[in-house]
Amino acid sequence: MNTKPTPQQASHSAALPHIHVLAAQVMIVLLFLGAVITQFVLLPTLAAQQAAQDPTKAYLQLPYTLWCGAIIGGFELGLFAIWKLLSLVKRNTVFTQPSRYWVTLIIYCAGADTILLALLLAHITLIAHVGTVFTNCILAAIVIFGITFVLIMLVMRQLLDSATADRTELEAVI
Amino acid sequence: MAIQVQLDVEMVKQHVGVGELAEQIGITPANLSILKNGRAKAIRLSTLDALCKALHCQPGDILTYVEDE
Repeated sequence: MNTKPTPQQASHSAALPHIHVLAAQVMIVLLFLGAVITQFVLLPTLAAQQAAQDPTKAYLQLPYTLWCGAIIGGFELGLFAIWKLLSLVKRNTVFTQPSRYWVTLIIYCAGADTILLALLLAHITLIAHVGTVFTNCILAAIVIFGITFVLIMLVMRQLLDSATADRTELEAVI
Repeated sequence: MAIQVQLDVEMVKQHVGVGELAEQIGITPANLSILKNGRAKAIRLSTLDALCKALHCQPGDILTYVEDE
Protein backbone atom coordinates (compact mmCIF):
# COMPACT_ATOMS: atom_id res chain seq x y z
CA MET A 1 0.00 0.00 0.00
CA ASN A 2 1.38 3.36 -1.07
CA THR A 3 1.59 5.71 1.92
CA LYS A 4 3.19 8.60 0.08
CA PRO A 5 1.59 11.90 1.10
CA THR A 6 -0.31 13.79 -1.56
CA PRO A 7 1.49 16.80 -3.01
CA GLN A 8 -1.03 19.01 -1.27
CA GLN A 9 -0.30 17.37 2.08
CA ALA A 10 3.45 17.57 1.51
CA SER A 11 3.32 21.27 0.73
CA HIS A 12 1.18 22.00 3.75
CA SER A 13 2.95 19.59 6.09
CA ALA A 14 4.68 22.41 7.96
CA ALA A 15 1.83 22.79 10.48
CA LEU A 16 2.12 25.75 12.83
CA PRO A 17 3.26 24.77 16.32
CA HIS A 18 0.13 24.15 18.35
CA ILE A 19 1.91 25.07 21.56
CA HIS A 20 2.19 28.68 20.38
CA VAL A 21 -1.48 28.80 19.48
CA LEU A 22 -2.44 27.21 22.79
CA ALA A 23 -0.29 29.69 24.72
CA ALA A 24 -1.88 32.56 22.81
CA GLN A 25 -5.36 31.23 23.61
CA VAL A 26 -4.47 31.00 27.32
CA MET A 27 -3.35 34.64 27.23
CA ILE A 28 -6.57 35.61 25.45
CA VAL A 29 -8.59 33.99 28.23
CA LEU A 30 -6.55 35.82 30.90
CA LEU A 31 -6.93 39.13 29.09
CA PHE A 32 -10.67 38.55 28.75
CA LEU A 33 -11.03 37.77 32.46
CA GLY A 34 -9.00 40.86 33.31
CA ALA A 35 -11.21 42.97 31.04
CA VAL A 36 -14.39 41.64 32.64
CA ILE A 37 -13.07 42.29 36.16
CA THR A 38 -12.02 45.79 35.13
CA GLN A 39 -15.36 46.45 33.45
CA PHE A 40 -17.60 45.31 36.33
CA VAL A 41 -15.47 45.74 39.45
CA LEU A 42 -12.46 48.03 39.09
CA LEU A 43 -14.04 50.66 36.87
CA PRO A 44 -17.17 51.27 38.98
CA THR A 45 -15.06 51.26 42.15
CA LEU A 46 -12.60 53.77 40.73
CA ALA A 47 -15.41 55.96 39.43
CA ALA A 48 -17.10 55.94 42.84
CA GLN A 49 -13.82 56.88 44.52
CA GLN A 50 -13.28 59.77 42.10
CA ALA A 51 -16.85 60.97 42.63
CA ALA A 52 -16.36 60.86 46.40
CA GLN A 53 -13.12 62.85 46.12
CA ASP A 54 -14.67 65.54 43.92
CA PRO A 55 -18.44 65.77 44.50
CA THR A 56 -18.75 68.62 41.97
CA LYS A 57 -17.89 66.14 39.23
CA ALA A 58 -19.96 63.28 40.65
CA TYR A 59 -22.45 63.65 37.78
CA LEU A 60 -19.76 62.23 35.50
CA GLN A 61 -19.52 58.95 37.43
CA LEU A 62 -22.23 57.00 35.61
CA PRO A 63 -21.66 58.33 32.07
CA TYR A 64 -17.90 57.79 32.24
CA THR A 65 -18.36 54.31 33.75
CA LEU A 66 -20.72 53.32 30.97
CA TRP A 67 -18.50 54.93 28.29
CA CYS A 68 -15.39 53.12 29.51
CA GLY A 69 -17.41 49.94 29.92
CA ALA A 70 -18.39 50.16 26.26
CA ILE A 71 -14.76 50.62 25.26
CA ILE A 72 -13.80 47.54 27.24
CA GLY A 73 -16.72 45.68 25.64
CA GLY A 74 -15.27 46.47 22.23
CA PHE A 75 -11.93 45.15 23.41
CA GLU A 76 -13.59 41.92 24.60
CA LEU A 77 -15.29 41.47 21.23
CA GLY A 78 -11.92 41.94 19.55
CA LEU A 79 -10.44 39.27 21.81
CA PHE A 80 -13.24 36.91 20.78
CA ALA A 81 -12.42 37.53 17.11
CA ILE A 82 -8.74 36.82 17.79
CA TRP A 83 -9.75 33.58 19.54
CA LYS A 84 -11.71 32.51 16.43
CA LEU A 85 -8.71 33.34 14.24
CA LEU A 86 -6.44 31.24 16.46
CA SER A 87 -8.91 28.35 16.10
CA LEU A 88 -8.59 28.63 12.33
CA VAL A 89 -4.80 28.67 12.66
CA LYS A 90 -4.98 25.48 14.75
CA ARG A 91 -7.01 23.78 12.02
CA ASN A 92 -4.59 25.08 9.36
CA THR A 93 -7.50 26.81 7.59
CA VAL A 94 -6.55 30.41 8.34
CA PHE A 95 -6.00 31.21 4.65
CA THR A 96 -9.68 30.90 3.84
CA GLN A 97 -12.52 33.40 3.47
CA PRO A 98 -13.86 33.12 7.07
CA SER A 99 -10.59 34.55 8.37
CA ARG A 100 -11.34 37.80 6.61
CA TYR A 101 -14.58 38.24 8.56
CA TRP A 102 -12.80 37.92 11.91
CA VAL A 103 -9.98 40.26 10.88
CA THR A 104 -12.59 42.79 9.71
CA LEU A 105 -14.34 42.48 13.09
CA ILE A 106 -11.04 43.17 14.85
CA ILE A 107 -10.58 46.28 12.71
CA TYR A 108 -14.12 47.50 13.46
CA CYS A 109 -13.68 46.90 17.21
CA ALA A 110 -10.33 48.68 17.29
CA GLY A 111 -11.70 51.54 15.21
CA ALA A 112 -14.79 51.95 17.35
CA ASP A 113 -12.77 51.82 20.57
CA THR A 114 -10.32 54.37 19.22
CA ILE A 115 -13.14 56.74 18.29
CA LEU A 116 -14.85 56.29 21.68
CA LEU A 117 -11.58 56.90 23.48
CA ALA A 118 -10.84 60.00 21.40
CA LEU A 119 -14.30 61.39 22.19
CA LEU A 120 -13.78 60.60 25.87
CA LEU A 121 -10.44 62.37 25.83
CA ALA A 122 -11.99 65.37 24.12
CA HIS A 123 -14.76 65.53 26.72
CA ILE A 124 -12.34 65.15 29.62
CA THR A 125 -9.99 67.87 28.43
CA LEU A 126 -12.27 70.35 26.68
CA ILE A 127 -15.64 70.10 28.42
CA ALA A 128 -15.45 68.48 31.84
CA HIS A 129 -11.89 69.62 32.62
CA VAL A 130 -11.14 66.63 34.79
CA GLY A 131 -8.08 64.44 34.91
CA THR A 132 -4.41 65.34 35.16
CA VAL A 133 -1.98 66.18 32.35
CA PHE A 134 -0.43 62.75 32.87
CA THR A 135 -3.69 60.82 32.45
CA ASN A 136 -4.65 62.94 29.45
CA CYS A 137 -1.29 62.22 27.83
CA ILE A 138 -1.76 58.50 28.50
CA LEU A 139 -5.18 58.61 26.88
CA ALA A 140 -3.81 60.52 23.89
CA ALA A 141 -1.04 57.94 23.51
CA ILE A 142 -3.62 55.14 23.58
CA VAL A 143 -5.64 56.92 20.87
CA ILE A 144 -2.53 57.19 18.68
CA PHE A 145 -1.81 53.52 19.36
CA GLY A 146 -5.38 52.66 18.35
CA ILE A 147 -5.08 54.55 15.04
CA THR A 148 -1.76 52.85 14.33
CA PHE A 149 -3.21 49.44 15.20
CA VAL A 150 -6.16 49.91 12.84
CA LEU A 151 -3.88 50.96 9.98
CA ILE A 152 -1.58 47.99 10.57
CA MET A 153 -4.55 45.63 10.66
CA LEU A 154 -5.75 47.02 7.32
CA VAL A 155 -2.36 46.14 5.85
CA MET A 156 -2.46 42.70 7.48
CA ARG A 157 -5.90 42.11 5.99
CA GLN A 158 -4.54 42.86 2.54
CA LEU A 159 -1.74 40.37 3.16
CA LEU A 160 -4.32 37.81 4.27
CA ASP A 161 -6.32 38.40 1.08
CA SER A 162 -3.20 37.89 -0.99
CA ALA A 163 -2.20 34.72 0.87
CA THR A 164 -5.74 33.34 0.62
CA ALA A 165 -5.81 33.95 -3.14
CA ASP A 166 -2.42 32.29 -3.53
CA ARG A 167 -3.48 29.32 -1.42
CA THR A 168 -6.70 28.92 -3.41
CA GLU A 169 -4.79 28.99 -6.68
CA LEU A 170 -2.22 26.53 -5.34
CA GLU A 171 -4.91 24.09 -4.23
CA ALA A 172 -6.20 24.00 -7.81
CA VAL A 173 -2.86 22.55 -8.90
CA ILE A 174 -3.09 18.74 -9.03
CA MET B 1 -8.16 24.91 -22.85
CA ALA B 2 -5.82 23.81 -25.65
CA ILE B 3 -4.04 21.18 -23.53
CA GLN B 4 -6.07 18.00 -23.37
CA VAL B 5 -5.55 15.20 -20.88
CA GLN B 6 -6.12 11.70 -22.18
CA LEU B 7 -5.76 9.45 -19.22
CA ASP B 8 -8.57 7.07 -20.16
CA VAL B 9 -6.66 5.29 -22.91
CA GLU B 10 -3.56 4.70 -20.79
CA MET B 11 -5.65 3.61 -17.82
CA VAL B 12 -7.45 1.04 -19.97
CA LYS B 13 -4.13 -0.23 -21.32
CA GLN B 14 -2.84 -0.77 -17.81
CA HIS B 15 -6.21 -2.07 -16.52
CA VAL B 16 -6.17 0.34 -13.61
CA GLY B 17 -9.12 2.14 -12.08
CA VAL B 18 -9.37 5.68 -10.76
CA GLY B 19 -9.11 4.72 -7.09
CA GLU B 20 -6.12 2.43 -7.57
CA LEU B 21 -4.26 4.90 -9.81
CA ALA B 22 -4.95 7.77 -7.42
CA GLU B 23 -3.49 5.79 -4.55
CA GLN B 24 -0.43 4.85 -6.62
CA ILE B 25 0.41 8.43 -7.56
CA GLY B 26 -0.56 10.01 -4.23
CA ILE B 27 -3.53 12.21 -5.12
CA THR B 28 -7.18 11.92 -4.18
CA PRO B 29 -9.60 10.09 -6.51
CA ALA B 30 -11.53 13.35 -6.81
CA ASN B 31 -8.47 15.20 -8.11
CA LEU B 32 -7.68 12.36 -10.50
CA SER B 33 -11.23 12.58 -11.85
CA ILE B 34 -10.79 16.32 -12.33
CA LEU B 35 -7.61 15.60 -14.27
CA LYS B 36 -9.21 12.81 -16.29
CA ASN B 37 -12.21 14.92 -17.24
CA GLY B 38 -10.10 17.81 -18.45
CA ARG B 39 -11.18 20.21 -15.71
CA ALA B 40 -7.77 20.66 -14.14
CA LYS B 41 -6.18 24.09 -14.44
CA ALA B 42 -2.64 23.04 -13.61
CA ILE B 43 -0.64 19.91 -12.91
CA ARG B 44 2.57 19.48 -10.97
CA LEU B 45 5.53 17.93 -12.73
CA SER B 46 5.78 15.53 -9.79
CA THR B 47 2.21 14.38 -10.45
CA LEU B 48 2.96 13.98 -14.17
CA ASP B 49 6.08 12.04 -13.26
CA ALA B 50 4.08 9.74 -10.99
CA LEU B 51 1.42 9.24 -13.68
CA CYS B 52 3.98 8.29 -16.33
CA LYS B 53 5.66 5.93 -13.90
CA ALA B 54 2.37 4.27 -12.92
CA LEU B 55 1.04 4.01 -16.48
CA HIS B 56 4.39 3.20 -18.10
CA CYS B 57 3.98 5.91 -20.68
CA GLN B 58 5.37 9.24 -21.86
CA PRO B 59 3.93 12.67 -21.04
CA GLY B 60 2.97 13.02 -24.69
CA ASP B 61 0.77 9.95 -24.34
CA ILE B 62 -1.27 11.71 -21.66
CA LEU B 63 -1.11 15.35 -22.75
CA THR B 64 -1.87 16.66 -26.21
CA TYR B 65 -2.07 20.16 -27.55
CA VAL B 66 -5.05 21.04 -29.71
CA GLU B 67 -5.22 24.53 -31.18
CA ASP B 68 -8.24 26.56 -30.07
CA GLU B 69 -10.72 27.18 -32.89
